[in-house]
Formats: sequence, C-alpha cells, structure tokens
Amino acid sequence: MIKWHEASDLIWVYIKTRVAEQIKAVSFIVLYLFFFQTLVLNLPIADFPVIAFGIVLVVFGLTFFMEGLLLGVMPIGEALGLKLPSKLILPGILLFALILGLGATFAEPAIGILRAMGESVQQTETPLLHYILNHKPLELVISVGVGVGFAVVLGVLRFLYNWSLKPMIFTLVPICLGLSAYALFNQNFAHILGLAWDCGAVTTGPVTVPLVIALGLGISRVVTGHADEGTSSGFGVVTLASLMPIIAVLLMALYLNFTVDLSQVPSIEKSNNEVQAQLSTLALSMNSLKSSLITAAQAILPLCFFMFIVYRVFLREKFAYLDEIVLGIVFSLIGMTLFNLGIEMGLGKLGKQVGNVLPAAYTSIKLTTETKTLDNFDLTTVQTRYLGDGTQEQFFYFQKDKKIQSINFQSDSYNSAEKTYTFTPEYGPIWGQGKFSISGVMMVLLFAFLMGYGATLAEPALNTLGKTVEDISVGTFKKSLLIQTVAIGVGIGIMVGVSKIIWNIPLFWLLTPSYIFLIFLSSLSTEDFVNIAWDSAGVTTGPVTVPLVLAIGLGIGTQSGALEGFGILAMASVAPIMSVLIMGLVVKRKRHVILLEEDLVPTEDNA
Amino acid sequence: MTNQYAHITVTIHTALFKKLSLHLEKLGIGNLYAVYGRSMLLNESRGLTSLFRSSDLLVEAVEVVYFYLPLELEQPVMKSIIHHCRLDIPGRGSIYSRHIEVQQGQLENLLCTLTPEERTALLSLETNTQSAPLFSKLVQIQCAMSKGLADNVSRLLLHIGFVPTITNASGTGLRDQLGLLRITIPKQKELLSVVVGQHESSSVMDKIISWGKLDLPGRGFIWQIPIEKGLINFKTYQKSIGQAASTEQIIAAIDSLKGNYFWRQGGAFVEAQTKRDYFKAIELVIQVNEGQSLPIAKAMIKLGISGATVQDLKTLSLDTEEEIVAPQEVVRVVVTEAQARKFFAAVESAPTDDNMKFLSTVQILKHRVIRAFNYRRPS
Repeated sequence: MIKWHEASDLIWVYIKTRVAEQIKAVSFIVLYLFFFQTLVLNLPIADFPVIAFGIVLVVFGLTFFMEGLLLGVMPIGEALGLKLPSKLILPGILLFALILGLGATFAEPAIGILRAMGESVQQTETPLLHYILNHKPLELVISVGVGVGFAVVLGVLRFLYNWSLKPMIFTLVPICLGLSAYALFNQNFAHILGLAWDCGAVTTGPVTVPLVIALGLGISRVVTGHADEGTSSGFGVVTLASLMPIIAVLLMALYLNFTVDLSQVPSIEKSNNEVQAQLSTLALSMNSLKSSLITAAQAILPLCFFMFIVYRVFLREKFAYLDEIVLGIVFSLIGMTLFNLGIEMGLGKLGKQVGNVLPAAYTSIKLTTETKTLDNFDLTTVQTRYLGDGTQEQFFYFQKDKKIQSINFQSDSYNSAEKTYTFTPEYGPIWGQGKFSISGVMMVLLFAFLMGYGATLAEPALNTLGKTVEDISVGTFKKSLLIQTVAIGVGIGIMVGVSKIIWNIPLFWLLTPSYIFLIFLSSLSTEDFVNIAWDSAGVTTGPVTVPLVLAIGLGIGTQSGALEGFGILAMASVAPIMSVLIMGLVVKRKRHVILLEEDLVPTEDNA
Repeated sequence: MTNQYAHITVTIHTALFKKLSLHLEKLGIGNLYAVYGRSMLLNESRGLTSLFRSSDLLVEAVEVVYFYLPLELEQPVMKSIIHHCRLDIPGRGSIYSRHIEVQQGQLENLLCTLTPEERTALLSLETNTQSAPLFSKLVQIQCAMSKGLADNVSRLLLHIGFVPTITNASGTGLRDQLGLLRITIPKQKELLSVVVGQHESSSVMDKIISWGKLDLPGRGFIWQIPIEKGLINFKTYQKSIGQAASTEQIIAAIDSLKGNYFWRQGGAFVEAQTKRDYFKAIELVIQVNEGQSLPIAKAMIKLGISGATVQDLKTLSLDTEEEIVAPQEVVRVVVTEAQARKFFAAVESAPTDDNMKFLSTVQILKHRVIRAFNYRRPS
C-alpha cells in the first residue's frame, strides 16, 4: 500500500491538472465579457462579487462534471454498447434505443428554457407559435422526444449494419428544408421555423451526447469491422438527433395549422413585463442549491439508472469497476449542480448584463437597472429648451459621479401626491445611429462572433467529443484543432443569427443556402469527417452557449422589435458543420500531397 | 509437436487500408486484427507558415494490421502485398514478420483458415509478381510509455532517420492496487514501435532511453524483438519534390540494387556511450475476448508480474458472414525467464485453482526478447 503523503501528492496533481484545464476553457469568455462591459461599453459590472463567485463555481462544476462523464457516464454507455448486440435481439435493442431517446429529451433542461422564451411571442402577430407554446407545450416536448427516439433507433441500426451517414443526411436535410419551404406560402407557419430548428439544436445536451457517443463506440467495436469506416465509428447519432426533432416539430405544427382554428383559441395575453418576470423566475429556480441539484439529478440519474438496470438485469453483466462508475455519477451530479448555479450567478448574469446594453452600440437604450426615483422633486428646477425644428422640450440637470446629464422631463413620470419623479437614464448610441450604421452594427457582430467563439471553448459536451475523437484517432485528429474549428464556426453562426434579428431576415433564406452548401461539402468529404462535423454541430449548443445566446437574442430582439428571437441557435449549429468540413477537406488535400499519387485518395470508383 | 508460423504486421497509411484489406480478402486471408495508430513526418515549414505552425510534426493516421500465416506462405504473401500496395515507394507503409512457435492445436481461432487450393494459389504468387526487396536482420524496438511522451521521442527518431508508429494502450500494475485512488493515475499509455537494422538497434534503443528518460521511475518500459523479414518505410521528411525522384526513392533504389541497407549509416550508428543494465526477457502476448484482460492482469500481479499493457483490437473477419463478433483485447507483458516459468506453472495448475481457472483456456504466445530495459530490473 502507499503512504498517506504519496496519496495526497497523487490527489493534488490529479485535481490541479483538471482544474487548470477548465480554467483555460472558461478564461476566454469570462475575460472577454468582463472587458467588453467595462472597457468597450464603458459601464460598471453590477454585483461583481456574486459574479466572481459564480465563475469560480462554473470552473469547479465543469471540473467535476467532465471527470464524472469520463469515469461514470461514458463507461456505462460503452459497456452497454459492447454487450447489447450479442445479448439482446434486434427489437429489444431498438426498443432500448427508443426509450433512451425519449428519456433523454425529458431530462434535457434547455427545452424548458426554450418554452419559457417562446411565451414572449404575441398572439395577434404569431398565433400558431403562440398556440403551440401556450396550449400544447407537452405535445411539443413529446414530438421532440419522438424525434430524438427515432434518431437513436436509426443511429443504432446504422452502427449494427455499418450504414453510411451521408445518405441519411441527404434525405433528412431536404425533408427539413422542404417542410420549411411551406413557410414561404404561409406567414403563420414561418414563425414556427425558428422554434423547430432551435429545438433540434437544443435537444442534444451535455449528458446525452457523451452517453450516446460512448454507446456507439461500444457497438461499433462488436460489429465486424469494414475496411472503409476509419475513425468515424461511434459518431452520427447526435446529427440524427438534431435533424429528426426538426421534422417532428414541423410536422406537428403543420398538423395543428390545418386542424385548429386559431381565431377560436382563447388568448393568454401576457405583458412583456410578466414574461420577463417568468423568465427570471425560471432562471431563479436555478438559483438555490436545492433546485439546482434537482435539475442536475433529473438530467443525470434517470438515464444512468435506466442504462444500469438494462445492463445488470436484462443483460446480466457485471461492471469491471463499479466503484469508479458510482463515483463518476456522483461527480457528474456535483459538477452539474455547481455548474448550473455558477452559470446563473456568474456567467449568465454577466452575459445578461452585456446582452441588455449591447444594442447601445448602435441605438440608444434605457438602462432599466439604473432607474432612479428622486424624492421631493422640485418642479422649479425643470427648464425649457428649443430644439432645432423650433419645438420646445422640458428638461432638468442630473449629476452622478461628477458627470452632468440633462434628463428630459415627462410630466406623467411625476407623482404630484408624493412629489417624486422617476426616470430611467438613457445610454448610447456609442457608435453611429440606427441599425444600418456600419460602425455600431459591426461592433455588435464582432461581439457576437467573439462571444460565440469563447462560449464554445468552455462547452463541456464539445470537450468530451474532442477528447473521444483524439483518443480513438490515436492523436491524428487533435482535440484542440476540432474545438478551435468548431468555435470559429459557432462564432460565425451567432454573428449571422444576430444579424438575422437586427435586420429581421427570414430564417428560411439563411438556412436553405447554408444546408445546400453543406450537402455539397459533405458529398466531397470522407465519411469520418462527415460524421464528426455534423455531430459537433449538435454538441456546440450546450449549457454555456444557450443562456448567453438567448440573453443577447432577447436584448437585441427587444430593441429592434423582432417578433421572436429564435433562430440564432439554428445558425450556430449550421456554421460549425461548415467549418469542420472545410477543415477536413484541407486536411485531405494535405494527405493527398503526402501520398503523391492520384489513386491513393480513397474515392468510390477506385475501391 | 510445434509448428512454425509467421506473424505478419503491416503498418499502412489509412488511405491505403481499403486497398490492402480488399487484396487480402482476394488472397483468402481472413482473420485480420487491426489497431488504429499514428505515424509522423517532419514538416518543412517555409516563410510565414512556419510562424503559425505550432508543431513541426505532421501526423498521419495509419492502421497496424496483423495476421498469422504458415511459414511457407510468408514470403509470397508479403511480396504480393508489397507489390499490390506499392510499399516499395517510401511513405506508404511498412511490412515485417516475426516467427513464432505454436503448440499443435493452439491458436486455431487466430490463424487464417485456408483451403488447399488457396494455399497452392498463394504459393504460386511469388512467380507472378515482380521481385520486391525483403530485408533480413531487423529488430523491432517497442516502448510502452506514459501518454504524451511519445511525440518528443518520435521527433528525435525522425531526425536520425527512423519512422515510429504509435498506438494507444492502457496500463495495469500499481494502478489496480490502489482502490479508488487509481483514478488519479492515468490509465492511457502509448506504445511506440520502430523497426531498425540489427547493427544499429542497441544504439537506437539507448537513445530512446535517454530521450524518454526511461531510466527514471514511472516513465516507461522498452524491449527489442528480432524481426525475420521486412520492408521498412523510412520517409521521415515531408517536402515538395524539386527533382525527378525524391531522396527517399533514390535510397530505396540503392537498397534494392544492393539487396541490403547496411550501406546507410546515419547518425544512429554510433556505439552507445552509457552502460545500461539490460536484461534478457520473454514477451508474452495473450489475445482474449473483451473483458478477460483485466483478470489476467490481476492474476499476473499476484504472481509478482506487473506492467502489462492492454490494447483493444478491431477484428476484421473478412471471411465470415457474421455481423457480430466478440471484440478482442491483447495483453502484452515482458517478463524475465524466471517470471515466465512461474507464470506457466500457474497456468498449468490453473484447472485445479478456482481463482485461476480461466487461465487454462487462454492461448499464450511467446516472443524472444533480445534485451529489455526498465528503470528497475525486475527481480
């Protein structure tokens, strides 16, 4: 046995390296948001100590969570994948896959956020979207779940019979686009697109993805190897789980569109304030340790328990390192709890602050957090000035921190009974006026790009995917290369998504060309790059990116009067596929150069 | 009654893997085992690109494929593979064989099953294909080291003209005696393999030991195995060609004209300066179904044998129709002769010992190790 001081040395090194890794992962986004708020937008950070504490929680949360995935969650998935095909008949395997997919969706916390987001939509403007979100929320989640369920079934069949992913992409994507094209003829249906495509992006969360990838790796080890599979084995389910829910949600919406008379639907009209309040209670529900723990337990325990039972009871197998797996699950539980709490207290809060004031770059906004009430307001301090067009305006001077501002006086903000005056200071525009001013909008887009890039670096599911890819490719496909490529892709995607909201570009016209280009790129690429590229798309929109993106979407959406803020996530999914495929083609070209012979690059015809 | 067999290893660029496996299928060689690995090249960086490149190594994906054949088929099959995959062009891959002695009745499930017609067809291959050079007097140096150490050693090996292949493995040993504390010690190991000429083997091995600091505890383990025949890839540098043939092609042409490679005396051919405490050993290779390697490693630790590495294998049973195969694992351990005797004694008494019973069903291959090195010589 080893001595106590040796053991403590081992533990110290173990903790140190892992915490350092996570500090590296989150440092970019944290420093970036911090400096953007203080130096570029020139505003102080509210609640700084809370945010700092939250960020510390995020670091430790991620550390525990990642380690838990590697020790507990992924080994369960892989062990099951290894034993399932030989011990269970095909219908049994498929039933297992279906339940897994359904269960994973119900466990996914991001779906709830999406639903809450959608409640801000106006019934009069977008009746169908409003109807689905407010009257059929369960049906929405079920159709997403069925989509994911069938995706896992198809994915498992793929592993068992070594089917290529390409034909599936080539059929599913046109179906998605075809259904979306209907929106061109039906304005009402158009507003569903954002929701449907975002649902696809959101379903593949930080627990499901590693679990499903590990399961796939296990299954493909059992299945007779075929010569052309390369490193791709085990991937692809995430892609299907991103595409099939889109189809499911669109079909459901289509069905409702024809069967329900929307004018007869009772209205649940909520004011914007109410929605904001609801959103913040949803967010607040993460704020206490207990509810954060419950959310984490909901996401992790049922899935792991289900797989555990299947393994022990139906397959009658024993785990080689049961203690490690239990420890891993405990770690991932602790990790996710701390992480949720930290996101809400730290990163999310910081993101929200920046997101709210971001439109100040190109337009003037009201700083609602700075709302002031002046007691004993003296009406004689109000003065009158002439404006350029000859009209009059009333104002008074207000000084804060040696800075004198003139505030427009509105008589309805004056409470004559209590002699108080309430006002909200305005801020901006910092660069240029209006949403077509180049400097202001450029600033916002640049911000969106860097935020997407930074958030992706910290995304836990992408880190696991990268590690898995590096491991099974024995280091030929470096984790850092994958993460960097995906992060740049996500940055570009979020940039495009934000411009969609600023200028109200219909989502269809952004998605169609992108996906057609993707199909073209995929047909050029090798199977392993197609798998990894499409999978990394589903992986990127995780618990770090989603709250930040939604915060910005909401901030800009409110300012620019967009009817719904959906669609950014959908764009954030498309762009990384493109960047990874392009990177793959560059690498392939390099290989080609190395081999210096035409016939060496694998193509269908010279096989 | 023992039979001689050839254990043939082909390390091939992934882009050529399909070509290789289709060729082997055509030849009727069914039972293939493959490990995914990486190989490297030194990368030429010129001008601005060198500023942005983080590493001067160009990593390539390779497949390490191996299979067992009766000895008389060794030469024709190897030559046919070289001819078909053009392994005589530098940079495409290596092929080499070791000889093993197998007890009658052993290894049956690992060997390729060949019909007499296939056998005669394989034997007549040689006359049909152009003669490709196959060299003898080779040595394979294998080194199991902690993850992350292999890249640096590889770079230095490339600089003196050898192309290493790296595969992943997991280590057992101290780790498994620690209880839950084991999670603090990384399981992943890297297995570096490089084939060199006999005359330069001790010098290369000495260099790897000092580059990888293998004389310090917990860094790794290194050993040499004789290779009977082989054609080894020696393309170490990636650059654009300015002449009609690359330097490597010219070297390969001289090799095949001379019929040997002894005339190539690069930087490695300097006698080792330090005196290392090498020991004679035996490499035990045990291929089992998935999940069985762990009890074997544990049984070895009980006998005082530590340091076994386990590798996952991809089974490519080209001649079966079955879709599902039991995944395989291979346990490798280098032991002294005394340890080997102890181990085989345990295997023999296994049927009577309930805890060790499973050992009686496994098949163990022995390879002669010329010399091995560890920071502490096993007792």
